[in-house]
Amino acid sequence: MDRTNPTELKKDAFRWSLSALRWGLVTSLVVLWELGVRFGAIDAYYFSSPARMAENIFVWVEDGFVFKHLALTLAEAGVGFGSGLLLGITAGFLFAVSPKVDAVLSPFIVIMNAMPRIAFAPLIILWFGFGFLSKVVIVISLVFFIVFFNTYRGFKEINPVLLKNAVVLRATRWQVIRHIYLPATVSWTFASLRVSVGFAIIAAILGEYMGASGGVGYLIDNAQANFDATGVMTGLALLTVVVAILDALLQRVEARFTKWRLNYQITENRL
Amino acid sequence: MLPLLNILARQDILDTGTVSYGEGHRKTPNDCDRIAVVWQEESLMPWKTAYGNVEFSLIVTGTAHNDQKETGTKWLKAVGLEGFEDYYPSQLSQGMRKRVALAAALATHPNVLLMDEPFGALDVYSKLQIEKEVVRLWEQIDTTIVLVTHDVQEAVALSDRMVVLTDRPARVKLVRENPLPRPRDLDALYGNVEFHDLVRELWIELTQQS
Repeated sequence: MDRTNPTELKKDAFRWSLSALRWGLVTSLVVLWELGVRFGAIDAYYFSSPARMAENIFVWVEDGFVFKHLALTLAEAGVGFGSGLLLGITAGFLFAVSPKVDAVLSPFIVIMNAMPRIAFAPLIILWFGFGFLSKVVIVISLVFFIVFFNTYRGFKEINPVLLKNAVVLRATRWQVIRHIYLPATVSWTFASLRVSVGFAIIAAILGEYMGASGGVGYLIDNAQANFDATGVMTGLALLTVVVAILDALLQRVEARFTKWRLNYQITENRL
Repeated sequence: MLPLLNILARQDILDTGTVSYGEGHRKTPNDCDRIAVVWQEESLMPWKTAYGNVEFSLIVTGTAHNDQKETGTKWLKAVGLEGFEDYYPSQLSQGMRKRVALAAALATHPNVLLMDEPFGALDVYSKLQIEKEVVRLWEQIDTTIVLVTHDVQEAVALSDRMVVLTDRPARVKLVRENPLPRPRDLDALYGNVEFHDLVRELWIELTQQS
């Protein structure tokens, strides 16, 4: 990109002022919150305060036990996410390739997806126990459907002319999969990844609320049981930061795999 | 796509009658009959660049790996897209995307190139530009081109032989050898009296149908 281009410079300046404004907003909220607590306008017992949360984080980190809980939650979310992804892609592929499977099973999939999985969480805990496995199953139950529907849609939305053209040119089955089916679905799957990572962590936390002996959800639940607003807030803040980092990482990966979609903007700028 | 083209492209079978390939000696196509199509619809893979799309044709038709780069670039250049190799379809205009599709089809070195109303969706100017490209390439390749079009001027400008089909069910109404000399200069052709006589002749055939 041409940095000396005046419109580019203007855009850079705009980007900077935008992020300055955003950070300014966050900082002033935090300062207002803290001041509100200091001057008695906000009850720290219910709402905690930035200073208390900072202190709490310091204690958690110094003690090191927070990492153990965080790692557990991330492991539950990660394993569930991975399995859900694999199952979702496989099922999406099967449904797309076989019209028979699609015709017979698709109403069930829609019904299962319409069911509130969160209401099922207690049952899942009952079936799979209080440990690691039940959290993984809850995560899968959420991630699977997101990935499944996106993969399925990716297959169904392939331009039929591409397939016809490949047939006329006598492409082998493997070539069609490798050059058409795979790239067509990967972009859809990636589009669903960012949504499903958020869901995976929410689901893991949810499972921990219902019953667990570790994890960030367990920490928050424990704090809540002790009327410790600071503990709850710190747990939430921790999760927010982790999800934000993961999302930013995924955004990069996604951008790389779906470059051909984002490119629209580059042309428009050039014109 | 016209059933006739589908049959030629081996995508449909005949109820009756025969198709002759290879100077009329064979009734069925074989592996030596390389067929490529320029489709009426968008036929580029949006996830591949202009070069990537041409390369796909080369891979599929078994061009040696070492020759792919050279052949692909050569054909993109031949359709006037030098320097656009790394552009994605979404970055190219409709006319340019058609050019890529043409390059991808020609790169397979087909015996038969089927063109199904290939430029119907283009604006008049882009259409003329790409037609000029086709006329130029026509002189350089030894490919039989079957071009289906509703544009009589296009049919007259781009053919050695014109076939008028009737409405459904399509029957051959007229076969007319094109007397216009080759190579053709489209800019000059559009002012040519003989050209316009031919266009009128075909128009009358077409409009008398029903």
